[in-house]
Amino acid sequence: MMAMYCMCENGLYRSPQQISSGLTLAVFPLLHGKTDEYCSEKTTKVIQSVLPEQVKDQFSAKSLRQAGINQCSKHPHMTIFHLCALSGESTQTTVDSYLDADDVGRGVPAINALHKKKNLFTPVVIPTLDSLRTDKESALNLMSAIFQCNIPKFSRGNELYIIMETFTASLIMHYPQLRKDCGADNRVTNMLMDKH
Amino acid sequence: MIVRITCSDSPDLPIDQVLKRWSQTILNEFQEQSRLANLSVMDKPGKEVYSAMSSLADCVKALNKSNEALLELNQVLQQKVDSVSNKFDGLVQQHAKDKSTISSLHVDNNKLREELRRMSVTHADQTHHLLLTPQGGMRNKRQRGEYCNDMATEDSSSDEEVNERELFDRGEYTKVAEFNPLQWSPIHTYIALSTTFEATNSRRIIYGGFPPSSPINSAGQYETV
Repeated sequence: MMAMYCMCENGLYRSPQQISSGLTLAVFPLLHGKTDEYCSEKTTKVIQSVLPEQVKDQFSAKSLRQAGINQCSKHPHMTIFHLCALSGESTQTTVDSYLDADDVGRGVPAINALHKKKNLFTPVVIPTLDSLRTDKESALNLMSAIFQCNIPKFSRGNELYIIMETFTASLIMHYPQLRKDCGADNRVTNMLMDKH
Repeated sequence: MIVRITCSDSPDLPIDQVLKRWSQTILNEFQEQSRLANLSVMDKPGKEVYSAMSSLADCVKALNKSNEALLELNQVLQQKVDSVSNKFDGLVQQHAKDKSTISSLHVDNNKLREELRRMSVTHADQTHHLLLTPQGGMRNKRQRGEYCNDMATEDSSSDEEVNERELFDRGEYTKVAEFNPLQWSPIHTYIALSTTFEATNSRRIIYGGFPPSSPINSAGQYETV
């Protein structure tokens, strides 16, 4: 999902105004400074725009959080700490003030639950371009063409470069399924195909 | 930015095929790493069960590959069967045409047989008419020759008869009768007389033998009274 956002919506490009505003490392600069209600309303409009008339009022931005939290809560080994680490909810205990909010690793057990892993502490595996071996350089050329990026930490040799590689590997890995689900004429496929 | 991406195995593949091939490579590696990750957090019984399941999954994959190979082979065989079937249909059609042709040839052949039989009857009638002339034989030498030629093609005469016929055709031999003294009668005398009379002096008459009281002299000439 993030890979599609970065490729199609220039998610790794920051305008001079955004850079001067200190939004270089903001994931969604357009939403920066907006209220939660503003974001929820935007999301709700998008969801309801694609639903049938009879049922669209039954769904909103909150439905997305409901789905994830319900799915996680069904896992027999799920705890409130694992759940809140991913959802960002408060545990309503004094522990919250001691938890590291920047540690994304705390959300891994809940992620494994969403991926139907029996063991919540299964190591996370991500697709990588290293699998291509001799074709990796060609794939990196494709990566530099599909992502418009001016964030220094994502440049080659820096710490976030691996994320852009993972985005590329993920887009390539899911390409056949995407074409099968959405047809040959969709924005993601077109973005991949139009770069050569 | 326009870039050229190629697959090292097949440089001429279109981009769609390159992406699909890369996708399969990345996915295979991802699934293998996921399998190892799942295995790493299992206890011993879990690992044994997982190992057994993994072995079973490998067997199923191998069976799937075998099935795919068999399906491809079936398709090849199907194509061959279709090809042979088409050839067989062609042969059946050709056989039907040949049968029709042979049937029409049989009809034509029967017509020809009928025509030949009709011509044979006509010819036999004509030949019979010639034989029944007042002279008791054929009218002239040319007709006799034709008759003998016709007969030579279809009868089964002995060598002696053939030789006699050749002599007859050349006008050198006229066989009147076989002489048997015990069977000599006035009718023989009459035949000898009439034949000799017809031949006059142009033919040499040969007899198989003469009775002591025969009117034929030693020179073979009939002595007229």
